[in-house]
Amino acid sequence: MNSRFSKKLITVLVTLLFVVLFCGCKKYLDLKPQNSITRDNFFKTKDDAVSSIIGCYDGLQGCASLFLNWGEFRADLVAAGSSNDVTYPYYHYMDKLKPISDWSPVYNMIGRANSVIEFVPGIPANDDKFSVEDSKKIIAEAQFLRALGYFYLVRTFKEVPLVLQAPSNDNVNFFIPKSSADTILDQIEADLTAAEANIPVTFEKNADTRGRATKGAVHALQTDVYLWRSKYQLAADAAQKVLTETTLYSLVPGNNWFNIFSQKNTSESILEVQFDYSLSETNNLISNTGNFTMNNVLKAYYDGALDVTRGLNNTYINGSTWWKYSGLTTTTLIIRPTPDPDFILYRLPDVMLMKAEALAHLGSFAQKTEAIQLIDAVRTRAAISPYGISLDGNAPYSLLIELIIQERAMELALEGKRWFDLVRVATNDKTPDFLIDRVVKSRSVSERSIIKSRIIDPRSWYMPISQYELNRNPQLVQNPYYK
Amino acid sequence: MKKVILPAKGFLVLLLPLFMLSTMLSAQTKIEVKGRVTDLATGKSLGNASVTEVNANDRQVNGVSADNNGNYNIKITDTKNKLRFAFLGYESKVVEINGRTNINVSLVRDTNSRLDAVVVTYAKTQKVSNGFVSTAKRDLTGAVVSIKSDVIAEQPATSIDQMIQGRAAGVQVVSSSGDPGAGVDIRIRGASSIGSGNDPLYIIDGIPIISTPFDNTNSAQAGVARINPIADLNPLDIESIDILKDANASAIYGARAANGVIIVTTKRGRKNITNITLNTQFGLQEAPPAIPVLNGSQYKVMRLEAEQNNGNINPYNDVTRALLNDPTYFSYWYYQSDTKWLDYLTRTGSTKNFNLNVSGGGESVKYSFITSYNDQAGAFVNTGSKRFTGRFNLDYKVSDRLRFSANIYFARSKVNNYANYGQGSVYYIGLIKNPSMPVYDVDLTTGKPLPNYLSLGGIQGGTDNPVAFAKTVTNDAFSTNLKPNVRVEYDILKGLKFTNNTSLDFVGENGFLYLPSEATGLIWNDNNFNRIDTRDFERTQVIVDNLLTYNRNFKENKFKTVFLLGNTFNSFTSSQLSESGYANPSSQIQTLNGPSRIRSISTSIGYDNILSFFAKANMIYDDKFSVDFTMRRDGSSKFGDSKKFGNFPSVGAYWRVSNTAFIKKNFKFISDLKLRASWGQLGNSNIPNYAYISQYTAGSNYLGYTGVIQSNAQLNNLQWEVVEQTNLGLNLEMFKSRLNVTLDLYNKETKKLLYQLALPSSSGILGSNYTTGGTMYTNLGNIQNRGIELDVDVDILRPASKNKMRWNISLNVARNMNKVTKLPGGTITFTGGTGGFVNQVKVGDPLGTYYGYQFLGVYATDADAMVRDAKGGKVYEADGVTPKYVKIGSETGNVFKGGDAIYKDFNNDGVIDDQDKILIGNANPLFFGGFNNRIDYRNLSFSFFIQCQYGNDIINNLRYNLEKMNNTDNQAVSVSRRWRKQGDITDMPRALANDTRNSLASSRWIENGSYARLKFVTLSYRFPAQWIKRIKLKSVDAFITANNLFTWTDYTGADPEISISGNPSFIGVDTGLSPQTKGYTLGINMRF
Repeated sequence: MNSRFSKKLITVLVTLLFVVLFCGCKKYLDLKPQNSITRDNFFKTKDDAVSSIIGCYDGLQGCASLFLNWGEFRADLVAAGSSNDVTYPYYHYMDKLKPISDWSPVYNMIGRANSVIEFVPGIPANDDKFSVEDSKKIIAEAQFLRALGYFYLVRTFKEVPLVLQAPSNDNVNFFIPKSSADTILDQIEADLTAAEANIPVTFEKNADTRGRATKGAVHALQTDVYLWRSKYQLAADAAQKVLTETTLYSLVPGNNWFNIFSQKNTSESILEVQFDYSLSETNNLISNTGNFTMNNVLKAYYDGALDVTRGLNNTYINGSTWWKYSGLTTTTLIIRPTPDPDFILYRLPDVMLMKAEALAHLGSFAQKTEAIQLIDAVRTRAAISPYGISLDGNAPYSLLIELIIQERAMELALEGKRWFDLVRVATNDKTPDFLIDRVVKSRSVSERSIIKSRIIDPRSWYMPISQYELNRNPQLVQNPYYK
Repeated sequence: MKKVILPAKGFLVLLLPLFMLSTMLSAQTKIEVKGRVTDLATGKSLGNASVTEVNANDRQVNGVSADNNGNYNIKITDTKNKLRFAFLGYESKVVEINGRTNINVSLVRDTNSRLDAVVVTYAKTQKVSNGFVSTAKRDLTGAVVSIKSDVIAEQPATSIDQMIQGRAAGVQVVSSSGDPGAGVDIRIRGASSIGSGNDPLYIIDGIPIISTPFDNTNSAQAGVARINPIADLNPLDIESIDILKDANASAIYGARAANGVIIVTTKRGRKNITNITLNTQFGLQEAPPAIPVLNGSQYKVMRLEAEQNNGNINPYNDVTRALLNDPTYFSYWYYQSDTKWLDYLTRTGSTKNFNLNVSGGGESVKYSFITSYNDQAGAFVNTGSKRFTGRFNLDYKVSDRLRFSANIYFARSKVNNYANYGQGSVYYIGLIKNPSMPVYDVDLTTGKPLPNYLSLGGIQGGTDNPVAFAKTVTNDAFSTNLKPNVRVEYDILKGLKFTNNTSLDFVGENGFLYLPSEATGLIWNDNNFNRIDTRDFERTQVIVDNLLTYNRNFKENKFKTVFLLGNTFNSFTSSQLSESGYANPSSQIQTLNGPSRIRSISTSIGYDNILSFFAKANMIYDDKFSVDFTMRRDGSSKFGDSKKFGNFPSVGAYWRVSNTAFIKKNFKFISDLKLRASWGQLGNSNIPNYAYISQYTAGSNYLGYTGVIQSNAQLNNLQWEVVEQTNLGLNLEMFKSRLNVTLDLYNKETKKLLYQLALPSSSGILGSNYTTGGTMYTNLGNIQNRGIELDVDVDILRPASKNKMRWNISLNVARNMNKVTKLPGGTITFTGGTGGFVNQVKVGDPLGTYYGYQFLGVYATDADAMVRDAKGGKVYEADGVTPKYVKIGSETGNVFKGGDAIYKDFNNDGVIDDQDKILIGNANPLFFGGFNNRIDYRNLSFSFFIQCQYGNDIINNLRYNLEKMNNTDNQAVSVSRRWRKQGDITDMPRALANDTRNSLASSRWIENGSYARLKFVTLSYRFPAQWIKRIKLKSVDAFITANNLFTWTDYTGADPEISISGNPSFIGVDTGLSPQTKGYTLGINMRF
């Protein structure tokens, strides 16, 4: 080969090579993941909207046992078992370093809901098979779930960061300080009002109607929120909207009371978090509750009322087994083989008793009479003696509230309601002893003084914020009692 | 699979044909030619000169070496051929045979001798490669340390890191554990990043290699054995190692060089020198020292005390029953032994190493073939590694203009480890396992031993039976390394050269773990019953470099220039497949097949590309001044559209003061004095692929509908981490280069730190668990490393002749000062750290500082725990009568009692809380270094090497675990002096179950980690030439080496040489990994 020619050839080749390189570089550096969907390709179609709201419910499943812990384990219906961590619930279990102070499952659900609320409205413009009305239904479900999450947070920690923006990119501020309880509760009310307008009353399948947010669930949650804020008329009104849906919600007959838990999604269920072992959806409610034995306080309630529908072999079978979650039958005592009980957030008797509480507060003769009727409806179903024989609308509020809270204990034991009931009444009625006395009495004699010294300060009724969370968020301040 | 790893015997069989080949070559000969090779000028004989037979095409067909007196004897194959005579530093000569049988030849000294290119004698003449261009060490502007080849040749290292350890100032090398095949942490000039990698870049023969272990964080198989890719390299392949420390030296690797660069050059064939070397080594490693722990009955007493102190006095409680000697207890016989667990788990380890190197070459072709087999049995039972490697390096000169070279490396290795599944190292478990439990099962009615292992976790064991795990669990990793590369060089014009370098780096790793039910004691319906985990990971890197180099000298070599223009394509592929199954019907079947059920299965694949352009200009004037500019532009697929590219410039210069008339005249003893200065920026993009892209994943289902959730946020602001470094250096050689001093000062500032920032969970981004939380990659903060490095090399005795003594010492010492200079918010806190330490990274502190309480002793009585005011006066409650006692955490916290630890209450508020935490430890040494000493006398040579580190603190987490007395772990005998009753005066707190108040993060666990360790003592002997000749060998050397013979330290743990964690905020924590142990190696090197 001619050497001059080859010299030229090489020079040309090298130049060409460099030119090709420079042109191809943009594509060379633009790589996309193979294992996941990118944000750029998501929130485009109806399917994306549906799967994103399902992701929110998946988040709700993660909250179930936490909601139960927060609502039950500090109160007087249970006593800590022998497990090391839970010897003294007030000291060791409810600690800033223990998992119970971790609110991340709730915020995780809220974050997913925030994404739905932020991005689903843009989908109808992209997908003509997905109408604006369809999108509003899904957004309403997300609004409900966000409200639900914040309601648990505000009742458990009082002041928490109010995050309403989706965690979509690094321009979002992730370090949010706490907001006041009222700000959060206002937001909850606003979300529920917005959701109420668009949310479906039922879904095609019964399991979906009981397992997803519906108008009934919105009203039940509104009742709870208004009651918490002493807005009794609004609470009674919201409850009434549930009670009028008689075809959708009706009490299960007393002899089938246990089916509410064993068979799931019964006619009185308004919203229950669904679990199904065959879909690999399980929870730790059985083992979690197993750490706590039943307190004699509750046993005395059942024994006093001669309640066989809800007492032994129904709510519990022996000292430490919570049959609501672990049983399948009552008489032959067959144990649920798989760890997948549902966690019921709202069912009809809950709403009835909440309405009774609101009416008792409102206080007219007629309202109190209706309250007693509501309590009696729950009692009659359980085949125990109604109060209506001896009481009428002249009964004092203090007696009614005692009866309502006791009835709630017997009906809703271990459904994560008791602690919030005590805090609500003690706070709204300014009767701290309503809570303190009950909790102290439920403890062994040796523990009483130490427990009392602690819960005598109402600030201790709210949990400490997890130390890990404080470490990660410099904007966050520990709750006052734990500083 | 196992067949690829050949046993030693099989390996030798494989080598046999090679030996036969060499004998066959000599068997073909017909005519013998004799003669003598001498120096033309002096007439002295040239011993060991090479004599080769070359054919008409100038190809080498046969060759021998002359003896020590220059006499040679060659059997030639064809009388028409010629003989070529060559000797180092002489011009070679070709002589026609013409039927002669006696040819004496005299050679002329080569005035342009390239002595340095062949044998590296002194640093002065050494060439340093940065992978793209070689520069004489004399001409460098940057900070570079070279490891001498004699060090490499004689040290019995099983992996490359052992060769670097302690040899270079400012380079900290720590093995991650004493286990065979364990990884290594190397820090060049301190840790410059938090959590985005501090490991240097390795370049082998110009090619960057994959050097980081597989990322296992997303795999549920953390317990499965793994192999560090660096441990797969055969150290005896290595000719030389250069460590590029400053920005100027490593600038050409811009994007990947932020943590420094280690350049490895492997052995290549040399013209006219045929070399066959066989290295054989045998070694033994002592079992690691056992820390004395309580025996069975002492343990039960301690545990019972702990339970009772915590109020558990119920004798029928499951926990206490096992501790009381009550024969009516159902499981009584499970707790009646006195087992020394560690004795069952340790042994004397051994190492076998064989290495064969065949190299040679002629005018146009040079080759080097190296193969090795290494077999290590670890000091813990059933741990070990095996490695087979092969390297073939070929250089082919096609024409005067076109050159071609190829390097092919293959390695296959196997490591077997103890499968801990998160419970800790085997060493740790052997210490803490309940000593009252037996190794083998017992009959619960009679107490008679049964043949099967007792596999009882649970309440009194805490951990699984480590002996059953060690003996029955299979936990192997196999790795395959294939690294071919091809280089083509073409001279376009005089001085202008085009180079293309194409290489592939493949690392495959299979892991296999089998957990039989004998070990776990689980029954058939548990999803860990006869469990199998397998994993198949692959990584491939393809690199294509194109370079134009222009190398011209002007004005009679007074002005030398090198210009370089190039680009690199670097693409990485990584794929993973991992499966886990259970319920195999029998331990005979150890694979996933028919009857097995699947626990999990997952695959993933990732791609990552880097595209770089670079230019370099180097100018030297009259051996006096030099400047060097480098500019590199890197684009990475790991960053978003607007942040993909980063520019990394660097500049360096030197002034050779010794070439000034003043020095030449007045300081004649100075042979060389060079002042250097450099500045530059380098980049780091060591984050996971696609980290910036917001991704959504499926699988979060509800009610049977498929849910999709966001897994991470879009990070459009994420960009390159930049390391900016300034270096001032000095090279001084005095007394005819007998004293060499290198001094460097540097300031290295990492900016825009790539950091996986923990986000509050209120963000909605979920983490894997609540203590760590969700994270987001971000650029935050700055870290500064400033330091000084000194290397001194002295020939104390430099012999004039071979028979005199030579004595060389070299010493290196470095100080690095690390400081976090900027962090948003001032502090990043990590909780849940080792031993309950709250680790934090804080502005103004170095990485690796520890905050905690100040431990002052133990309260002798309950009354002693009263709160004291600042003047020491007693403090009472509000009523003025009730004594106020110190509490933990808050006003309502637990009250300290007699026997509890005393922590200093700095604010005298009676509450031991965060406000009482002070800085109690710093894991950064004040200085570290190495000292090497070598004496040669006649055939003997003796050398030893000491490595030291001074002024660092260690969190003795192993002692924490062996003295905390708050759970079921067995404890060290030191707890025998614990507080037991009111009035006891001791420094060991009481046993207290389920309560951490006495083991809080405090100065109690911090120890001085300074040490000096005699890493190697080697005595070697070269057998006299006259003996060797009789057995037809060129040379035989034998050596004996002792490793880690002595360690001088006050540290009470097993080994002060502890791993520097991958996360620099957790450095200096002794977690009880397998310690480095004493070892002895016997080796023989034979040249044929």
